[in-house]
Amino acid sequence: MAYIPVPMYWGRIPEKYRLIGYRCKKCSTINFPYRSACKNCGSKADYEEVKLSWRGKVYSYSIIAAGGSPPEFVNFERAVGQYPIAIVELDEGPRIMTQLTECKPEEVRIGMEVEATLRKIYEDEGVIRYGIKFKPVRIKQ
Amino acid sequence: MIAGILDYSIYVPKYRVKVEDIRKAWGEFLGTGVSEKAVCYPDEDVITMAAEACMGIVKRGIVNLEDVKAVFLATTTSHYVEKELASTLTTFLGISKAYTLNLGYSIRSGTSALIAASTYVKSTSEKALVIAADTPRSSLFESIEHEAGCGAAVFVVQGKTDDVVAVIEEFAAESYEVLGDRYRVDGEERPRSMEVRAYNTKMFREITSKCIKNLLNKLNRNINAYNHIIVSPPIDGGRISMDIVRSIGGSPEKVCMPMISNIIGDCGCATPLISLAYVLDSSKPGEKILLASYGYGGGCDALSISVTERASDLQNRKLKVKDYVDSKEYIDFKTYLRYRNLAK
Repeated sequence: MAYIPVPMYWGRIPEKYRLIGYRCKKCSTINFPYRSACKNCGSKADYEEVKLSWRGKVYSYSIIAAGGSPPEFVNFERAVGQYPIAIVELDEGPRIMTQLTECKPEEVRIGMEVEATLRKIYEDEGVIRYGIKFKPVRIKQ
Repeated sequence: MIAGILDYSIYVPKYRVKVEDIRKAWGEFLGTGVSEKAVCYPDEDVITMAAEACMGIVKRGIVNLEDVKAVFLATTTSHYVEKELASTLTTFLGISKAYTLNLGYSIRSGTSALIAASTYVKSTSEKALVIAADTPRSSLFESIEHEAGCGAAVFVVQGKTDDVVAVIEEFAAESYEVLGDRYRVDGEERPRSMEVRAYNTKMFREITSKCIKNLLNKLNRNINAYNHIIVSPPIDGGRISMDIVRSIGGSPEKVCMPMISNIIGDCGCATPLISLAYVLDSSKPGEKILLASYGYGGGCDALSISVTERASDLQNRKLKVKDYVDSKEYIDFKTYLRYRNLAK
C-alpha cells in the first residue's frame, strides 16, 4: 500500500473500497488485486468481478517499527507507534497485503481471525485516500 | 404516517478515555454529564465511522443495501468543507445510482436527514439510508473538547409500513436566531462558544419546548402518551432535558437517562440518532418515542415514533447498540492526545 499518485488510485477504487476480486473465466481462480494475466493459468485477463468476503485469517505478518514507515504513513505512526502489517488470507483464497489496524504488535498471531474495515490509508495534498484495512474481529456473532 | 424504519445500526469506536484520567492529567475536567467517552483511532473519521455503521446493516442482512435508492448523510465534522461526501459511501456500498444529499452546519442535521429521507420516501416504495456521523473537536481549554466523543448511526427508512420495526408518525420544527452558543467560523478548525451559559440554556429550553409543543399540537396529543422521551443534546448531563419535559407537563422519569452520551461522549449530529437506536433496541410493541433534537444557533426537530409489532424481533437481533458500547478498550490521557492529534 505504498504511495501512488491520485490518477492511479482512481482506477483501483472498486478494489480498494469494496474488495472487488476478479474471477478468471477459464480456471475460476480469484485474482486480487487486478492482474493483466491470471496468476494461476496465465491466460489473458478475462474476469468476472466478485465481491470478496470481509473475513480472513492472518497468514503472515511483520511489524513496522519506529522510523520504518514510508513518508505517507509517518503521521499515523506518530499517533500509534509501531504497527503491524500482514498478509491476510481471505475465506475465498486470495491473500492480501494489508495494514492491521486497532491491533498492537504484541497481539498479532498467525491464524488470527480478522475482518475488513474502511479506513483512511493516508492523506496527501489534503486528499484522503480511503481503503480497506483489516482488524481483529471486535464483536463475535 | 410519514415513513417506516426497516432497520438501524450504530458504530462507536473501540477506544475510551475516562473523564477521571483527563481530570488527573489536565488538572480539571471542563465538561458535564460525561463519565467516559469514545475516541477515534487515528485512521478513523466521519466517513469511516459511517461505513462501519452501514456494515452493521449488511451483517444483519435484514435489508439488502443494493435496494437503497437514496442516501442522506449528515455530519458537522467532515475533513472536507467542499466535496461531495456521500459519494465515498455510495462507492463503498456499490449503490452509485442512489440520490445523495449531504447535510451539515448544525448538530440538528442528524434528525434533519431523518426527516428529509422520510419525506423523500413517503410517496414511493423506495428505501433510503439516513446516516449521521460526527467527531466534534476543539482545544483542551474548551469544554467542547472535554465532552467530545465520536460515533455514527444509520437508519433505513421506506415509504410503506410492511416489515418496519417503527413508524415515524409526524414531525415538527422550530427555529429562531441564537448567537454565540456554539459555532465554527469558516477557515477555523475548532468550534467556539461565547460561554454565556444562562442565555444558551434559556434558548435551548425555549426553542426545544416550542418544538415539542408544535409536534403535540399537530398530533393533538399529550406528552404523557410517550413511553420514552429523548431530548438531545444532553446539556448538563440531561438535567435541562428533564426540565424541558417537566415544563410541558411530562414526567421527567420518561426522559431516557442515563443518556448514552454519558458513556460515549458528545457525538454531535449522531447523538440523537444513536440515542434513538439505543431506545429502540429495548422498546416493546405499541410503545411511543418522542425524539427532540436541538442544534446550536438555533433550531430544533421533534419526531413522533411508534414501535410496531415487529419490535419483538429486535430483542433477538445481532449487533445491538450495547454490543458496540460494551466492546471497548481504555486508553490513557497521553494516548488520547496522540489519537486526537491534540499535542501538535
